[in-house]
Parts: sequence; structure tokens; C-alpha cells
Amino acid sequence: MSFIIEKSIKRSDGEDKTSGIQKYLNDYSFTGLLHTAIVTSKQPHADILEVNIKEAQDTRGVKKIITGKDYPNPMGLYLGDKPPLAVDKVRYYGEPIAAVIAKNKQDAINAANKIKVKYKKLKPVSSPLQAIKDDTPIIHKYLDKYTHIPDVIPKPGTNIANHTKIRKGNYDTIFDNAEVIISECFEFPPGDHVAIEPRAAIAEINSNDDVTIHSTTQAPFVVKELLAFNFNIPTGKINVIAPPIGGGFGGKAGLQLEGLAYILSKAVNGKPVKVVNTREEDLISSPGHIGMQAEVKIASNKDGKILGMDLNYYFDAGAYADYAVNVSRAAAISATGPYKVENLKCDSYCIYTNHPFATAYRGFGHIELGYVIERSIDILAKKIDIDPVKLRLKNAIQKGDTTPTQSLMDDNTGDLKACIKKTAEMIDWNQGAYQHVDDNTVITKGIGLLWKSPAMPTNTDAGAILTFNNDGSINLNNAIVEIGQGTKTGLAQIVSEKFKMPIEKVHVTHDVNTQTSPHDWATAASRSLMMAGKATMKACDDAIKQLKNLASTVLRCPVEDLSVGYEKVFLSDEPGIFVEIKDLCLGYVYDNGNAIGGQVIGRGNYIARKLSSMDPETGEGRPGLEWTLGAEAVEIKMNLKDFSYQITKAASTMDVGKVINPDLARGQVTGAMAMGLSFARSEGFNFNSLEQIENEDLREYKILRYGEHPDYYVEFIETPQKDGPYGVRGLGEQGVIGIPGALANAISRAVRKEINKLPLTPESIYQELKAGENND
Amino acid sequence: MISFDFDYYKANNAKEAYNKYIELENKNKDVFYYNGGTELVTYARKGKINFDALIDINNIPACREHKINGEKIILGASLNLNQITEKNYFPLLSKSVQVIADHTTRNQITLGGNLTGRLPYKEALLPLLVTDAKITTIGKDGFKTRKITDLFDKRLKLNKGELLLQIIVRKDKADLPYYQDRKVKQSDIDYPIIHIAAIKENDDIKVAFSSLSAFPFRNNKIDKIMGNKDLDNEQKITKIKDNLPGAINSNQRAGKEYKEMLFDSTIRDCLECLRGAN
Amino acid sequence: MKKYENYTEITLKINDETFNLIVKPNETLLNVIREKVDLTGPKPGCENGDCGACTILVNDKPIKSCMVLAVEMDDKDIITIEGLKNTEIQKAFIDKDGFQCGYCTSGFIVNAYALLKKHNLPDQNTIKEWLSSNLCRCTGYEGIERAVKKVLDNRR
Repeated sequence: MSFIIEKSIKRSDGEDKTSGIQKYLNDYSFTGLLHTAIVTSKQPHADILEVNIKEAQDTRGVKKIITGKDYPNPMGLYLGDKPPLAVDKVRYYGEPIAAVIAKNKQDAINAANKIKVKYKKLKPVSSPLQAIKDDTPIIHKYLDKYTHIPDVIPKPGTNIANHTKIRKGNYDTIFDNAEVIISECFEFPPGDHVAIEPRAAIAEINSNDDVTIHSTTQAPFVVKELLAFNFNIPTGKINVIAPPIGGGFGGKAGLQLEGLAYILSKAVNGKPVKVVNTREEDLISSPGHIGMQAEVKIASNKDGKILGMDLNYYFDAGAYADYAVNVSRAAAISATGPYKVENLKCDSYCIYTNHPFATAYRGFGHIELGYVIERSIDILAKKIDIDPVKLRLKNAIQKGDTTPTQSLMDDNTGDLKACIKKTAEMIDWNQGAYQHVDDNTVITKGIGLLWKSPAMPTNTDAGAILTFNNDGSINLNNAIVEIGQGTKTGLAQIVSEKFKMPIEKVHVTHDVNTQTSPHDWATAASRSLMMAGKATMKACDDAIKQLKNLASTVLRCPVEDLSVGYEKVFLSDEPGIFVEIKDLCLGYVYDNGNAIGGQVIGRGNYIARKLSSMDPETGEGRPGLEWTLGAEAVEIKMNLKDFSYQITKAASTMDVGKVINPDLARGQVTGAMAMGLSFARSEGFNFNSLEQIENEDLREYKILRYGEHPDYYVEFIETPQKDGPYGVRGLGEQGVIGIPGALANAISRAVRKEINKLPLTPESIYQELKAGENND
Repeated sequence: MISFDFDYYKANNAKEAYNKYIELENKNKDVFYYNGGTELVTYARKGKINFDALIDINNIPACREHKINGEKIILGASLNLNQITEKNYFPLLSKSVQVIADHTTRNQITLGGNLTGRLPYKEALLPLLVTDAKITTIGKDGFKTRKITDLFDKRLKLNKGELLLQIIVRKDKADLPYYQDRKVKQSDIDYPIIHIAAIKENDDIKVAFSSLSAFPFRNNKIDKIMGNKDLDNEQKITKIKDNLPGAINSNQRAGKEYKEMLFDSTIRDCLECLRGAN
Repeated sequence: MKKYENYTEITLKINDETFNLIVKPNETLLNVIREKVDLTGPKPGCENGDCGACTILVNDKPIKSCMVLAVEMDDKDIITIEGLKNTEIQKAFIDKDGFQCGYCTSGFIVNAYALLKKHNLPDQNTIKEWLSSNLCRCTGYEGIERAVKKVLDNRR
């Protein structure tokens, strides 16, 4: 029986977060802090003829004004295409052009208002499919000169920032004789994460050229390493401090405002400078959720066995590549959704447009592919007249099958069929997916499967250091940022379990500090509990070994006869003989004052195992560490008069290997489901005819509200991930993935027409039906 | 953060407020009366509006009145929308304002602010138009009380500095059978695609609309069509559309086509609902 | 008629403590509470009245402090999230996982507290009407719903 895992321990940050005590970056005061205001572009695509800062410079309180020309070098995460401030050209509505540093915020804004930008308008590129037409303006003329990592394959002379190819099996002939073929198109616009805390960064440089960055970041080590690389600073001279953040969802990974804060601090001799987004800047200027157009072809036999897929994914990266080049790659790796597909052709393109640029977003390519695949599967089910749940059961991927990159689904493969059955049961699928309530009202259901593999570097790592206090309590130090997910509580449970020690005696680092915390890739890709958890277990084992060694001397017995637990090291078969951990952990002191042993420091690390790059022509390789599989469903109630609808139920079953903390796990899933519902139902930027954004605040950009949320049904299946701590695999993002497809399937069922565009507003449904009528 | 400086005055009575307004105006200052503040504060932060001075009218006793005075309901311009809903002297008005913004914000948005602000929706106006409410203002000729229907044409036509103090609704009209509906893009907390409010007085139907076109309106011809017993519902809809004072327009909330479809169905529902009512 | 120009002294009673503050008319209540009273519980999530993270109580009514001028609140009685520690609803938010990242939490708890003070046993519609004033991006609202329910269950 477990000591503490599998129990719903309350979060350690609960009191602070519910009483206004928890400090987020923008809550701290810094002595001598300078403030900033940013001038952003009102044009989506234009040559910058002039940035006139004369009048602004003479404004009260202004310290310095920086424009793009001051730092013209493009930089980026995987592909260096973006200068910190636009140089010569703006490529999206909201792009930062100039920054004012002033004594206070009011002075900064006033000066910024006086900066005059002269543009020569260029024709904007408004969609990925438009972007790849021959006569389209090229957004990045110097794509051939940009540096990039080998896994990213840009096509200079076009708007293609990355192209990932998957070729598997008889992809070129499988459609020739297929009994059933469906062919569908999908699209949705780019949008935003809408973390409730807007991004912020504070930079300062001391007289030894040590750079300190405080940031709302999910990826402090990425920030550190990218700043070092892009600004030619020795990495060790940079310290990034990351307090808990007010929601990330991918939007606070990578390099956000830190680079800008750094150059601004540098411009004022290293004084501390704060850059903080307004909500509008956070929505538009900072990167958001990727948009997409897609063409899906599926071949099956008449019984519904899927024979092959031909997938074209055109991702709308917006103006700059950022994480988008890896999102499009991740979507290729998982292109088919969780189905057994032996013959596959997939071309996944990351395409520049004049939209706000995209970065990581919960699901990382999978919510996008999940949507188009799950819609397509329903359309296939309809075409061959088979129940959508049965069709999914028939084709669900399982152990022994291979992924799109031809890597084997091994012993760790979750039980997808069990997930499907459980979800169907929770949503009462057998009671019918379409029910009439009255002449104008129907209740319908939709199902959507999910899978996800983290798209991360092959050498992704995590670390853990355990130290002790003189009361025998433990400090756990690792670099997981608290972004709302509660991993720190999960990690504390792992330590508590290992030592069979009350969780109150486990203290987990609060703020991450890259100088003192062990290296960690990033708090992203739902890998924190798995990887930092694994490192933590190793650190526990290391400390336990040291404690036993010391205790064997003190108790004069063999090491192998000792056990650790209940704050003691004791003889396994004679627990009455023991020494307390508090008397060992900082060295043991004999009655006469002699001391031995010294303090115990447990160390643990983790590095991803046997990941490999993909073949550029076929995609063959092992880029994905583990797969979380699951099935989700949605029930809606629709008014057929005006197509307004309520989302009444949402269900999710995922195979997460092992649930460490059931309540926290549930919270991750309900939150992810809500995000998926919100995305599919109402989100995305509205562009006017000039490609300017019309919904640039939260009054117009609608996310799901209280009362619009459904009743949630959440279950977990536990097929252990053998290399995860206690069998754990990732679950933070995954709940978002199956939901958009499930919702669109329920809506398509309600209106008896295939609705393939998001967001699913009543008006867009009406328009689709109208368009259908006109075509008939 | 509001990036410009301004002066702020707290008026204790209507006269004082008006005089201060004129005084500042004569000094070429941009002045606004400040009621709930939701619009002024947010617009000022976004740089959509600029002013030299605000005159807070919340402490003016007349603006805070909220009572039934014999046959009249008196509603001060500074009452917030939740206060109106909670006392519920005028159920149609309660319904029409209970859908504006969100509950917390309704603790701030005032009746007067909704009627005189810059936003085009003015949903609180609809019940006032259909019940021929009166408004009391203070201006250069002192206090005046006039019918709102005479003053409202696309916006409330007040003179420079004229301050809306109170709304007066006849109790008998406030108790008439009514219909109210509001269509939104998706979330209830949003500006409307269409907001309709109607009352039935004897056999007459009086109806007002917001958001259908660029401004809210009530129109006598449309009232007559609604009450015309010789027309069936579909004929009424067609005729009403021919007589709209402004075109049904596309905007951020909805395109023209969808709006028209909603309009049709809303009129149908309204007529059905009021058919048997008396 | 009282005039406030440049820097004027105002008095705010916040969480039962009196503060004499020098403010300018263009400062919002949110900024003054955060920067001059050093209570950073109310959050600037949008400064446009849309997210509710800055919700505070003025005379027991929830108000979005980003849309209020501090001068307007001269002599008013204000409660922020910091003043609600150890209330039943605050504890219920912990117990029922009504928060994750915590950024919207101050506003939600303040609003829920006001709701539960005004209504002894509010129905579903009333709860929805009040709580839909705030946005949360993490929880999907289930934990928040359960936290309010827990307080109501204790009252029944």
C-alpha cells in the first residue's frame, strides 16, 4: 500500500494563493526600477519609412528610446528570423517597433504616444494557403540567411519556414483501389493563450556584467541559454529567476519579453528595467496560438478499417517562426491521431503570414491535428454508416503498432480501447448520440480521441537536489516553475512516499533560480512530474543510501539490514533499533562530541532515453518519448432556430500510467477540457479586410466563462509507464486535444451537416448551413 | 494606466455641477460628467478619449433618487443597474439592464451612463422609449422635464453641459405586459446582436430595438405594424423591415444575414408572446 | 464642491485599516491599492473591466477596481482579498481546488464572498450571474463551483 501517492493531498501553495499573499512578478517592487512603453504596429505588413522619436525624446521623464535599428540582428528559438524591435519592415499588426524607457509608466506612455511611424503599406498575406501561392509577397526575403537548427527545414524564396515530411508504407498506391475515400478541408484562425497574468520581465546588469532577469517564464533555462547565444553573453553570467506564474499554457515558454528587457537595461547602463504587457499587447504583440488550414484524405475498406491517410497540414505561423516550426513538426510526428495507419503521407508546413506569430500552446500541434483527424473520422463513420465509437474502437492504436515515424508502440502503450469504452459509458453513448427534445431543440454528442507525445529535444533533462534541515525535514530543489499545475505538490508527494515522511516536512523550492537550481529543460510538454519526478526519486535514493551508510556505522550493523522511513533509519527486522534522520542528516555527533559523516546531499538527474532525430524524407525516427492516449466526448443542447447551444457535458478518460494526486490530476483535465471547449467554441482573432485585428481585448476575445462550463466526467486508466516515477506519464496538456473534434462532431450531428471551420459560433454554423443550401 | 492628467470635481448638487461644467467649458476645457466611470476610465486608458476635467455627479441627491411617487417611478441617473434590478419597480427595465455587461460591472454602470455614454447599444433606453418615459435635466434654462421620445434621435439630444438627472416612468405603463429578448454572438456577457423590448397597451404594441442598426430606436410606423390585426406575423416582419429607420448592418457582433434571421425569429416570438397578453 | 487636482490627499479604509494617501485623479483604485497600499492581491489582468481579477469590495459590493478612480473612493470602506483570510469561502477554495495558477483567484474569492454574504442560499442562476463576472483560464470552473457549493452545503 502506498504511503501518500494516489492521495489527494492539498496543494502547498493554497493558503498563499487564496489570500492574496502569493507574489507574482508584477507584484514585486524594485528600487530604482525604470518603466517602459512599447510602440506597436497598426499595419500588418508595411515597410517602415521612418520612426521619428524627436518629440518623444523631449518628453518629461524619458531616459532613452530604442528602435529596431539599435539591435538589427534577427534572433529566434529554432530559426533566427525576428529582431527584438521591427527593422525596416513590420510583419504583423501589433509588432513592437520602438520602446521608451522612462522614470514612470505614465511618462513612458506619453512619450510612446509621440513617436511617429511612417509606413509604406504592403499587401498582407492572410492565410497559409494564400502564402504558398506563386504570386504572393514574400514575408522574409532573407530566409536563406537566417540561422536555424538542422531539424527545421525552411524553403528560401517562399513563405515556408519549415516542411516536415512523413512517408510510410504504400502511401502512393493505397488510395488507388480503396473502397471508401473521404476528402475534407478544415481551418481555424490563430488565437491566444489568455493566461490571466500578462507577461512581464525585469532585467538588470551589475557592474561585473552579471545579468539578472526576473521573468514570467515557464522556461528559465531556455531564457538563459538563448540570451547567452543571441547577445553573446557567457551563460554563467546570466541568472534567470522565475517566480510562480499566473498561467502559461505554452505562451510563457521560449524567449518572450526577456530579450527586450535586456537590451533596454543595457541602454540605461544596466539599471533595472521592467517590460510588462498590457492585456492588449499580451494578446496581439506577444505570440499566441497557431492557426491552421488542412486537407485530409482517408482511405478505408467498407467495414471501416483505415488503410491509409494523406494529410496536408498548413500551419499559420504568423510573422515569425518561434515555436511554430516545431509545432508543425510535432503535428507531423503524431499526424494520424491515435489510429493504426500503415500507409501514410503527411506534409506538414509551417507557413509565414502577416498574422501575429505563434508559439507553443497547450497540446503543441496535437489539438490542431486532433481536431482535423477526429472530424474526419466522424465523417468517415457517417460515409460508411458505422457508429463513430465502433469505428474508433476498430482502428485504435495499440501495443505493437507503429507511429507515423515508424517507431514501435512498446510495452508502455496505454489502453486506448479501455479509454474509449469508459468515455462512451460516462457520456451515455448507448442512449443515443442524437435526441430530440422538442421541435427546436436537440441534444447531441460527439467523441474525439487523443494522443500526445512531447516534442522536445532528444537530450531533454531534469535534475533534483535534496538537502536536509536540522529537524530532519527535507528541501527539494528542482527547476520546475509553478505555473498552476501543482507539480511541486506532486514532487513533494514522491519525496514523502520515498521517505515515508509527513509531507509537511518536505519543502519544495518556490522560485526557480538558474544559478542555484539544477538544470532543467523547461516546464513544458507535460513532462515535469515524469522527468523531474524521476530525478527526484533518484535524489531520494541517493540520500537514502547515504543515510543508511552513516546509520550502519552508528547502529553497528550491515547497510543492507537497514530501512528508511517515519523519519528514522531502522533495522528492518527490529524497528525498535533506530537512529533518527535528524541526527544523521547533517552529520552524526557521538555523545563525546565526535562528529562523522557530514551533511547528506541527495542528487538525481534524468535525461530522455534513446530519442532520435527524424529522417528528412520519410520522417523515420524516434522523436517521441512517451504517448498519453485517451478518449473524450462532449454533449450539447442546441436551439435549432438560432443555433445557439450549451455545452452540457464533457467526458475524458486518459491512460496516464499512474495518478499521483487524483484531485490535482482531475483539475488539470477539467482545465484542459475547458480550454479545448473555449478554443473550439469561440476563440480566434477576427481580422478585418486590412488584416488588422478587431478583437484585441478580453471584451471582444471571448474565453469560456463560469456557467458556460459543462459538467465534467473524468476517469483515468493506469497502464504504467515503466520509465516514469511510479509509472507516471504526462497529463497536463492532453485533456485539451480530443475536445475540439468532439464538440464539432456533436454540432455537426445536431445540424446534420459537416461543420469543419472553427470557431463554432452560432452564426458560423448558420453560414455553413446556408452555404450548403446554396450548393445543393 | 491613464496617461494624461485631469482635474476631478465632486458635485454636491445639480446646479453646482452644471455651473462648473459651463465654467470649465468657457475656459476651453474638455469636460465630462462622471457617473459610473466604466466607460470613461477604460476609454481613457486606451487613449480613445481625452479630457481636462471630470465632474462626479454621484453625490447629487436627485441622481440617487429611487422611489415610487404616487403614479410615478423616479429613477436617478446615478443608480447602478443592479439597484434597478433589485428594487424592480419597472420589471421590463430590470430585465433589459440585467443583461448589460456582467454582474460586478453592473454595480458600477449607471442608468444615466448607459443612456448618455458613447457606446451605441444603450439597452436601458428601450423600456423607456416604449413607455414614453420622461427625463429631467438641468441646463441653461434650469430644470426641465421632457418626453424621452422627443429628445432621442440616434442619441439623447441634450444641450452642451445639460445634465441628465432623473428618469420618470408612469407606474401604470411600467406594469403593462411586456416582451424582452436579447440575442448575443455566443456568450451572454457581450454586447447584443439584437435587443428588443416591447409592451402591450390595450391592443397596441410598442417596440424598441437596440443594436439592430447603428443606433437604438422606436418608431411609430413599426408600432402600428406590430399592432395591425389585418396582417399575419410574416407580413408584419416584411413590412417592419421596409420601415426600419436605419439599415440592418453587419458589425463585429454579427453579419447582416444572420442578424436578419434573428430579427425575424425575435419578432415572431414577440408577437406570439404578446398575443394573448393583457 | 471638492476639487481634486494634481496630488490630493484621500482617505481609504481598507481591510479595517485607515490609509491617508496622496493620489492623482488619473490613478485607478487598483493601482493605488497595489502600489501605494502595497496590497497586491487584486491583479491587473486586463485593466479593462473584463477579467475580474482586480475585484474588491466597496461597502460589501464587488467592484472591478481597474475601472474606478481612487479619488472617487475617498472615505469609502474597502475590502480586498487580503481581508478575507480565514473566511469560509477562502478555505473552501483550497479544499475544493478552486484555484491553480492563482492569478484570478483573488477576484473570484472576493466576488464569491460578496455573493454568499448577500444571499444565504443563492440558486444556480444567481451563482452563475455573479461568478460569470470573472475569468479563469486554468480550472474549467469546476473547483470554483465546488468551493461555493461547499459553503452552501455547510449552511443547509
